[in-house]
Parts: sequence; C-alpha cells; structure tokens
Amino acid sequence: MSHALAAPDPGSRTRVRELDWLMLAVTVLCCLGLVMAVSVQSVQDGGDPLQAMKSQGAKLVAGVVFFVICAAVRMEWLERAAPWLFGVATAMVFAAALFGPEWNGARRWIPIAGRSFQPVDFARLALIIVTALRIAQAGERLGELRGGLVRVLLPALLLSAGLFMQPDNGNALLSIVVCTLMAFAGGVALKWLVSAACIAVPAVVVIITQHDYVRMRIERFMNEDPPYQVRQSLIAIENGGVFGQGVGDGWRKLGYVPEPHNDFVFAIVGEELGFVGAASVVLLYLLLGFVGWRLVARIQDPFRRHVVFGCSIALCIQAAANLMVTTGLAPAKGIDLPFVSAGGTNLVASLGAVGLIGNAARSGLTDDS
Amino acid sequence: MIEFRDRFRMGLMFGTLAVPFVAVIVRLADLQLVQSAAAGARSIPLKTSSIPAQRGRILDRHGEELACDRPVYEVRAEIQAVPGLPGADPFARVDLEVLRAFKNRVVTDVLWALGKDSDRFQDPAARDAVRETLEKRVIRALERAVDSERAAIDFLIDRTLDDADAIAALRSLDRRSKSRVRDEAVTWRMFLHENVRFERVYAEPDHAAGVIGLVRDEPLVVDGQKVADRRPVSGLERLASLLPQQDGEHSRLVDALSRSMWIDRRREPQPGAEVRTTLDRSLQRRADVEVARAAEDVAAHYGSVPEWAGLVLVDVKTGGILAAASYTAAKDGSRDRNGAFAPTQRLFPPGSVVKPLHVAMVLERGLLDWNETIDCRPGYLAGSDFVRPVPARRTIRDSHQNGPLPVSQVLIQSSNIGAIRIGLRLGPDGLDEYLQRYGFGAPSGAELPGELVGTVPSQIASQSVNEQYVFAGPSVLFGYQIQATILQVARAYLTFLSGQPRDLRLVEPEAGDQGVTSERFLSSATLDTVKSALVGVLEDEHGTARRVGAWIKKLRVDGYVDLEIAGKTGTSQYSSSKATRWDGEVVNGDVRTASFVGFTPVREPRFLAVCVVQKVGASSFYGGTYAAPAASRLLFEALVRASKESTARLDRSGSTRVAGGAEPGGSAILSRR
Repeated sequence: MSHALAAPDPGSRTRVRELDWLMLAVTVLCCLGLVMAVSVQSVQDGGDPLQAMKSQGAKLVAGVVFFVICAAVRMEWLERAAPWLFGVATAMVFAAALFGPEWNGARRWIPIAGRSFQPVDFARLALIIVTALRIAQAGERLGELRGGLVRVLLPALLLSAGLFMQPDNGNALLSIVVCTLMAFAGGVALKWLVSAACIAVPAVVVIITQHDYVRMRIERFMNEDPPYQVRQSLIAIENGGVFGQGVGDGWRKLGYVPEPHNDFVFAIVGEELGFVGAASVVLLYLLLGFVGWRLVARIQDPFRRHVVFGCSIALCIQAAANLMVTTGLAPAKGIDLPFVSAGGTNLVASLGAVGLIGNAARSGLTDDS
Repeated sequence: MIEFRDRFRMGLMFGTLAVPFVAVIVRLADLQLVQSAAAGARSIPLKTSSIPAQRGRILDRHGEELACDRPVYEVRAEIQAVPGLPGADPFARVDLEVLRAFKNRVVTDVLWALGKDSDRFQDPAARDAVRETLEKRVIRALERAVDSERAAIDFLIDRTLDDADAIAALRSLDRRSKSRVRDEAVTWRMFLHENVRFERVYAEPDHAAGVIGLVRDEPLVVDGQKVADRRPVSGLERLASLLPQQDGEHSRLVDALSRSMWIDRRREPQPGAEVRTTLDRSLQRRADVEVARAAEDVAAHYGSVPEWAGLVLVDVKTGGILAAASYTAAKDGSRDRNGAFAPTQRLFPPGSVVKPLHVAMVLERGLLDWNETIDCRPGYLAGSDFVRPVPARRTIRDSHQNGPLPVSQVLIQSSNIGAIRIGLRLGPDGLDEYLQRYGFGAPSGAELPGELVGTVPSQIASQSVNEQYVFAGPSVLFGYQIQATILQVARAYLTFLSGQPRDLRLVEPEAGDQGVTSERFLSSATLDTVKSALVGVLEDEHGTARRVGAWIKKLRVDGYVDLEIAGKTGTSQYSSSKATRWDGEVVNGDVRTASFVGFTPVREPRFLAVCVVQKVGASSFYGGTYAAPAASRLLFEALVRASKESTARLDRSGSTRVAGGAEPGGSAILSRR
C-alpha cells in the first residue's frame, strides 16, 4: 500500500491543458450541486439551509478526498490491483443483493454505521478499470471471440448479474453499455459485437420487462403519456422559462417533483435557472465528453487510454440518461446526475472517476504527445 | 498519436454520445422557450385565506372604549381511535365504563387547560358550569360516534376563546394526552381554528345598549352583495364608517402535500374607522339608572310601568350629547333593553316646554314688556278670544284658573293662555320662524342612525286665518301640533341657551371641522330675563317643578350653596282610541307625556338635561313630578363630576385655588362648604 500511494514520479507526469477545462466543468457542476442541495433540501420537512449545506459539503469533501486519492495513486499499482478491486466491489454488490435491507422492493444498499451506501457506483468504477486492463492485456487477441469479446465483457456480465439480482436494471444496463462501448473502442471485432447484441438485447428486454413497473414505464413512454414524476419534471422545466424563477425560488420542489434533490434535480435546475442555466449544465457535460475525447486521442498507453475513455463515457452516459429522463426523452429511470445530485456515493464515485481521468492523462501523456 | 482505427472508434463513440445532449438542449428550448412562452406563466398554487377586518371602535369623550372587537377562536377537539367505539375495533363491544372514564378524563383535561387562565375559574360556580357544558358536549359527540360507527369524535370546547394562556395549554393538551393514555390507544388532536373571527364587546352592555346599539352575527347584505360578516342593527353601530374597510388576505405557498411552506403575501385588513363620541361613560351609566328610577317612580304611584321614558344630557358648550338613556317597557312589565331607543325613535308633543322658546323671541323683538301683566282670566280661551274677529271657535284651558299674571308667572305657572297671548304677537311669519329657528321637524344633528325627525304644521303663514290664529298657531305655542323627539327638544333648548341655532353632536367632529356658526337671534339680556323665570319654575311657590326646587334647597343647606337649576316642565296629553299600553293591550284613552328640560348652572349653562316619560291612561301625570327629578339628579351628578374634574385639573396645574367660583373659562362650578 505504501508503495502504491507513493508520490508519482515527476518525470512521468505532465501538465495537460485539457484537464483545466475538465476541472472547470466539474467544479462548476459540484458547486451547482451544493447550491441545489441548499435550495431543495432546506424546504423539505425539517429542512434547514445550513444543515443542507453542511450535509452536501461533507459529501463533497469526501468526494474531493477520493478524487485526490484517485488522482495520486500510481497507475501501475492500479493495474495490479484492478482484479482485486473489481472482485471486492462485485462481492459487495452481490452481498447487497443477498443480505442488504430491502427498500422499495430492492436490495441495493449496504448499511454501515447507521448510514447506507450503494456499492454499484464504486463497482462501476472498478469495472471500468478492470475492463480497461483486459482490453490492454488482450492486445492483438481483441479480434477473437474468446480472447477478445468474452474476455472483455465477462466482468460486466458478472457485475450485471449481481445488479439484476438486486434488482437495479438501470445500472446493470449502464455497466453493460459502458463496457460494450469500451470493447468497441478498444478494437473488439464489430461482427462479434453485433452478434452478441443480437442475443443480448432480446435477452435483456425479456429480463427487464419481467417487472411490471418497467413495462408500464416503457408503455407510458411510448404512448407519450409520461408518468407522474416526469410530468412534474416537465412542468418544472417549463416554468423556468428563459432565465428561471431564480435560485431558491422554484416551487415545484415543494412536493411536486419527486426526488428533487436526486434523480430529478435537473428539473429544479431548469426551473430555477431557466433555459440559460439548464443548457449551460448540458454544455458542461458536453465539455466533459469533449475533453475525454481530446485526451484519449493522445494517450498512447492502452490501459490509461481506456481508463480515461471508460470514465468519460460512463459519466457522459449517466448524465445523458438522467437528462433524457428528466426532459421526457427516455422512460423514467432513477439515475443520479453526476456531481449535481445529492447522492453521496455517486458524488464520491464520480469525483473518483474524474481523478482517474486526470491521473491517467497526466501519467499517460508526454510533452511529445 | 494512437492508431487511426482507435481514434475513429473513440471519436465515433463520443460523437454519438453528443447526440443525446444536443437532443436535451433542443428539448429544453422547446419546453422553456416555446411552450413556456406559449402557455404563459403557470399560476403559483397559492392558498388565499381571508383575514377579517375589525369593525371600528366606539370611544367615549375620554377615549375609553365603549365598543370594540376582540379576536376569538373556536376551539374544537378531535379524538381518534376511542376505545370502545365500534370503528376503533370492529369486534369490540361498546364499553360504557371505558367511555365514561374517557369522558371524565377529557373533561378534566380540558378544564385543566382552560384553567390556565386564572381569571376564568375564580368562581367555582363558573367552573361547574363549564364542566357541565363540556360533559354534555363530549357525551353527545360520543353518542354520535357510536351511532354512526365512527372511530373519531369531534366536539366543541369553546366558541369564543381569546385567552392566549388557555389556547397554549389546549395545544399542549394534545401531547400531554398522548403520553397519558398511550396504553389505551387514545389519540388526541386539538384543532384550534386559525380563522380568527371577531366578537363585539361592549363596555356598558346594559347602560349604553340603546345609544351604542348592537351587531348581529349574520352577514350584512346590501344590493345582494355581502358587505360584512356582521350586521349592525341599531344605534351608533349602524354608522357606515364603523364598517370594516377591507378584509385582509393571507396567501400561503402550499406544496403538493398541503403543507404551508411560508407566507408569501399578506395584505393587512383595513379596519373600520374609530368613532369618538361625545358620550361620557360614567354619566351614561348614571343617566340609565335615573331613567329607570323615573320609571320605577311611575310604577310605584300608578301600579304599572310607563310605556317609555328617555333622558338626555347635553354639554351646552360643545353641543355634545354626554348621555342618552332609554327605557322601554316589555310586555311582562320588565325593562326591554332591545326596545326602540326613546331619545331618537319616540315622538311626542313637547307641551309646555316650548313656552320659554317663543316668549324669548317675542321679548327679543320688543313685542313684550317683561313687566307687563298678561290677562289669563278666566282660565280658558274660548272662540275668537285669541284674535278678533276670527269666527272659528276653540277653547283652550289652563290646568287651573289664573288671574292676570306677570310674564314670569306665565312661565312659572305654565299658563297656556298667557303663552298663547304672548306668542301670537310673533304673527304667522314669526311662528314659522320660531319653529324653524328651534329646529322642530328637522334632524337634531346628532346623526344617530334611525333618528326620527318628527312633524310640524306646514307653513303657518300660508294657511287660513283660522289656522293661523285659532288652530295651528296657538297649538304650536304650547307644544301641540308638533311631534318631536327628545333630542329635538334638547336641540331647541341648546339653541335657546346659546341664542343662535345649534346642532347636537354625538360623534366628535374631525380635526379642523369648526362647524357652522349661525346668526344670533337672542341677546344675552333676553336670555338672562327668561332664565330668571325658569329658575322660578323650580323655586317659586307656584312653580310647576317646585318639588324638585325643594330638593335643590335642601342640597344648598347640605353645602352645595352654588347649586342652581333652571328648567321648564311640560305635560301633554292626547286622546287615542288605539293607544298601545306597555302590556301590548290597545286601549281607548289618554296618552300623557310628562317632560322636563333643565339646565345648570343658570348664569352660564353648562349642562342641559331633557327627561320625558310617557304613560297611557294616567291622570295627574305631570312633568314636574315624574320627569323633573330624574333630569335634575342627572344635572346635579354632572355638575359634581365636573367640579371634581376641575379641582383635579387645578391640583395638577399646581394652582392654589380651591375649587369653586368660576373656571378659567368663566363657567361656574359647583362648590360645597
């Protein structure tokens, strides 16, 4: 451990201008999350602005600590520890599915010291690392079925199995999608991907539609009759107009929009900051993706490149999914908006992903590249 | 640089991922720029509740409240899951023992809460009464709950609770009860209705009810529109300025769970205007007592109460009504406090009290020598004796036979014949002027809602000679063919004592309102002359109010050496085949009205009192006997109080003067040796 957390070799790190933009975007989004937490949580039952600030601030501090760890840890150590990290994280997912408390019909949380956290966020991070490692290790064998596709997607399938057990279909799909994209970007043959998709997509559809609420959500989405929470979200966004009602002055958070501090925080952003603010948030996520693309195009080391790619793409997909649900462009699904939602586990994991991007980029890029 | 294939694939992924973000931006533009603008701003779900505005306060001349609104709460208790009720447990039988114990506990707890207001139950009888009421309500609520198989009962604790301590204690009762009866699964929920309402309270609910009036808890509707929650029905309460100007509004932002999140907007209610009256609370109380005493005197003599009586006290300097009391008999002989307000709503022929008024006018015009003798023989005027050669015949008598009388004795003995002989010297135009100058047939100026204006003969000068000199002319000179209210008589004497037309006031004028100054038509010399005769009405051995004069002389002996009251009695009667007696019976008989108008001090009058008592079917019913004592006692009381106030004022100013003599303003003040 002491070796792993030792100070990186200054010679192997370089200043990357894109990371400044990345940090700018993440910092703005985190600050927005802090403001929205105060705006939303202070008007909940027993809410208090100062308490909301403290609570979200503590999560942010924890996230920054994890960010620093992820940004400082040596990538070589991460390569070696990746299978173990993934193993532990996946075990926690299964442990939650088997032994965790059941809330709202799902077992997704692990209680620790009176609090609870969702291991899926850390598991996804570990999944990205291990998948990147496997792609890097596969080398020329990526074109094969067994040495390529199966080897790369196996961890994702394993994790997804645990998530389907909870059930947490959204995160399971997200994990599979991220890893599939990583596999495609890493060079897995398209024919195997298409073949796998032909089998996996119907299978996944069959699995997830076993749940009535999933079927209902899809049906309502297809019928252009959004469920209650999405309808309330759309009303809130619509209320925002061009410049919004003003920070703290939105009123749809007062019991109308469900989960206004988590899954539907973007609806409150839209209401209080209007089109200008909401579109700016979307552009910040686009900036995050753009920075990721700029970085992966320059990193020579496959492991580091795929870590950056995986983390960037995971954050973007999660953000896109949340934004699409909130704006009624996708069936309702509870997914946190990275950096902005009040969920502590997701915030910490997201900042960890940013730390990894920075770490991989700084250690993988040379001045020449 | 990495291989082109990898760059292409990764670029393709990022590019593809940009699509949903672009879609979201387009969607946002649609929602927030197009749809939002098209639909307009959605209304904020505000719950608006009305805050009732208070009626204006009514104050006396010292600023003491005579009527005001106080906020009251209706407090209800809701009790859920009562053990023994069918709804609480479908298989349980109604356990009467449990219910009885529960009822006792509820009553005890509520009494404890109400008892936080220490004044509330100082009297054990009051506590027992509340206990009894509460028990009845709880039992009734329990019975209803059992009948309808409901698990909750709702009962009224108090409809007019305004004590903050008691309200707080009732709120705490919720928590307290839960902890005490947790084992029995009884949950209390106290409902303190937030919608405050106002209750009208009166400082003198008995003594000033007539003049202040009252409001009823029923909506005031004007032209089909509700104007106020409470309807004023009588007295000063009917003044439009007291009406609440505008109810307030309290808007709360309410969330989807009906939680009031915060006060968003509040418009303060605009209460009605404050009305400062000229009334004096203590004198009003005394006037009410005196008018009742006058009725008792009548009842003691005749065996039955008078139909009505009224007593008014006026401040001569300001014209303000200091007290206005009314007595109306109920059908059972008791006092009906909701009856017509005698000072403004009872009309009567004023009788002889008008005589000094026109005598002064005749004297002022030089048509009368105060020392001349008026031929009042042989005790009646018959036919054309008034003015020859009028052919019409009419006989007018004095109550007793008189000989030739000096002018002062005409007033002291109240000779109708003498008054007519003097008054007719005014001529027809002068008679009209007399009625107009003294304001008969016109509002008194007090502006008390519902005031009657009475009647006077239509212009005498334009009538026939018979009317001018035999009928209407002579009649108005001894107070007939005039129907007036007590306030109108008071106004006539206020005019007389001031020498110029004056109006009464019951409401203090706005600052800066100086009123209208009229032309003086009686000189001080004339007034002094007539007033000297009016002193004789009480103090002369032939005076019609000599009994009151004896009382005044006794007071002088007792030490009130300056006490001097002047006045004029009046007794009028008319026969009616449909006279309604106090007990509601309609009889054929005489309706007699005894009246007295007095003022004091004589030299510079400060207080003026008018007392009128009406009785059906009474003989020998005179103003000097039944009206003068009450008015004189009230005048004496007012004088004593004014003297005390003056003394206190002088003491406060550090003056070494002893009360007595003349006030700084020049008015004489009663002193006692």
